[in-house]
Amino acid sequence: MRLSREAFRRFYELHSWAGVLSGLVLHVMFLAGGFTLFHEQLELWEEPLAQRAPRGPDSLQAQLTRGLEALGTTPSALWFKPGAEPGFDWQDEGGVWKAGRLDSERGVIVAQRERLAHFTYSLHYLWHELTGLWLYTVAGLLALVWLVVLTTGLLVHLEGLASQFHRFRPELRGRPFWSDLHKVLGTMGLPFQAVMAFSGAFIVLGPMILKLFVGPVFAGDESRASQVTEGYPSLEVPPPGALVAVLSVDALDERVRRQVPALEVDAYRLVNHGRDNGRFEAWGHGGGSPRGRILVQLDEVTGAVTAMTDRHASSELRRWIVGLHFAQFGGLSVRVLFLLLTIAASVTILSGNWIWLSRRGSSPRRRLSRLTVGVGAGAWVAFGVLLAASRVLPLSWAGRMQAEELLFFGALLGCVGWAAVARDERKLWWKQLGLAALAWTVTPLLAARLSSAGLFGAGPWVPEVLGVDCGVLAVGIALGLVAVALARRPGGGTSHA
Amino acid sequence: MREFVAIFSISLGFLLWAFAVPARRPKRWVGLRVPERAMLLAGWGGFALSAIALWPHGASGAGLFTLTGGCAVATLFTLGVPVLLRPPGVAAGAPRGQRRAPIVVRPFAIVGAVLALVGTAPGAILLGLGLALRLPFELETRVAIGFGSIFALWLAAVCLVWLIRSPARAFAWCLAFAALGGLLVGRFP
Repeated sequence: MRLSREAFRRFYELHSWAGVLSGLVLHVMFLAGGFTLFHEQLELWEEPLAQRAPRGPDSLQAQLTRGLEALGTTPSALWFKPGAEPGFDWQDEGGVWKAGRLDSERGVIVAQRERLAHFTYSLHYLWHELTGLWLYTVAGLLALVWLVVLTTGLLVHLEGLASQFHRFRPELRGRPFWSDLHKVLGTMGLPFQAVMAFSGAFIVLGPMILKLFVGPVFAGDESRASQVTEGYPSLEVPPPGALVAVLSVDALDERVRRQVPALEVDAYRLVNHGRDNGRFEAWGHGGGSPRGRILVQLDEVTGAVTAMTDRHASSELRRWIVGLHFAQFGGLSVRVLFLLLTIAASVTILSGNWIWLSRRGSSPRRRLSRLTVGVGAGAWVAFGVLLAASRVLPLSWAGRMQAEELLFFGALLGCVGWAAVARDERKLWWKQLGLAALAWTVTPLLAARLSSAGLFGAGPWVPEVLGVDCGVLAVGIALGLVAVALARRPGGGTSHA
Repeated sequence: MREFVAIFSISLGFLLWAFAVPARRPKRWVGLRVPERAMLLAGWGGFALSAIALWPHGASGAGLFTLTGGCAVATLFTLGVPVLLRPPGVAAGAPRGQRRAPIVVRPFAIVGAVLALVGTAPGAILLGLGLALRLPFELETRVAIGFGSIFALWLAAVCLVWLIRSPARAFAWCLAFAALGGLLVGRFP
């Protein structure tokens, strides 16, 4: 297919300008998304209490009872994540959500003291308590803009797509080098990036658009709308009823597993526990590939099923979109592949910026060029600093979670500032990547301070913790190698000319 | 909370300052044109005002919205608007013969981009809604098709509207697209 000259020019303009204006934020979102692929493993890695081995057979009811005793109250809605040291999420009297994990040795709930996994997960879609919904909405629009960039890029390059799939000439310098890199990585990563952009826009903007559907399509019935789109009804917490004897958590769990044998439970939610209107909800994954989110809700008193995930066209669409975006299929190997594709997407963005820069010469070029270095390499430094800080700051310090986030943003802004004032822009890349390599590489060593379950710990090893340590070390070494290669390349390897 | 705001503000202030004064030519600060100075002042002023607005409100949503919005506006003004205001063909530093004006010098390009992205949204949503209402299938299937097609319709409309060179005609096409969706729905929600 050959576009007319005018259509080519218009699509090229849209592709380049939309890519340049949104690319650097998307670069940070992509890298945060790489962390999100290993969210469960990072949650285990970051909290030493979660790494404790079970001391023997322990019933769910015993875990819950110990937790509620330590908590000193029974909240009207309580999330319960079973384990050797079970985790709990609950709302206090003021409606504020709290999280903690039981320390069985001391018999207390240890309040959440680390949220690296949560922070990187939220950063992926630009969510933070401070910025709220508007920036989250921007993240959805950015996903849509990225979809536009991909589509226009495909239209512009459609004619030579076959050669661009493999034509990479590393011996070239300047624009042809970056152009080759951009096109090869862009073409190879096109299906992945298109799926991520579409599903990302759907996941973020979908619920907002769905509100427009509730009136005309569902006659204002929000619960029905939730049942059709999510697969389960909206789950309100009613006022607590009278105290009664209820079935044990183990008995309820057994009924759930009889109902859905394939269910892998992530957490339980107890609503009005121990009351006559008590509800027991098992939340998890299962049922095909990609694994869909499953809910089974039981009456705590009778054990009867009161709500359950439906499977129909609409919920299946959601299962596929969410499942593809979060790599809920294929196991660890697919996640590693997705991580590599994520890094490739980031390089596509940065190389796109260099192509744009090499076509222009003016002070905006200098600013964007420096911003590209500052954010491009600075994001790696910031994530490295975040990882290292999470292992250095004392677990007993109440302000450590906020300090980690400040260090992340401080490192990112510091790198951007460094890029702005540096005399030799071309050396910046290897210097900043070298700094990032240092932060990433020392993290597994620092992790041994807090946990013995990792690569440099005394053991016994926990596979997830060991895996995260190895992965972080591997990324650190890779960053170091890239930094060395760039330092040896004449001109620092980032010539735009 | 306040520490966060303070450090965030100082960091961003340094960032803006660093970009306003490129290291290779520190005297550029005094060499800025009047519009650039005004924009820098507006950026800094908006940023300072947002920080002041936030301070007494602590963690309130309005204050934080002002702060983050102010930062975004300050950054946009500082980095982007001077480029917009620079006349074509005088891009500093470019060799003779290679001087070319950034595309953003043409304001219609920005209007066209905004129209393409935002102006096509109502039409795409209404068409998706119309499909969810009118297709001859059961509710779950209709919703899956209607809801799932919104982003595809939106994307196609963005690309098509972008091809229209005149903003007025692009606006008319956006309206026509929305009207088509409205007709399918039967009534505006």
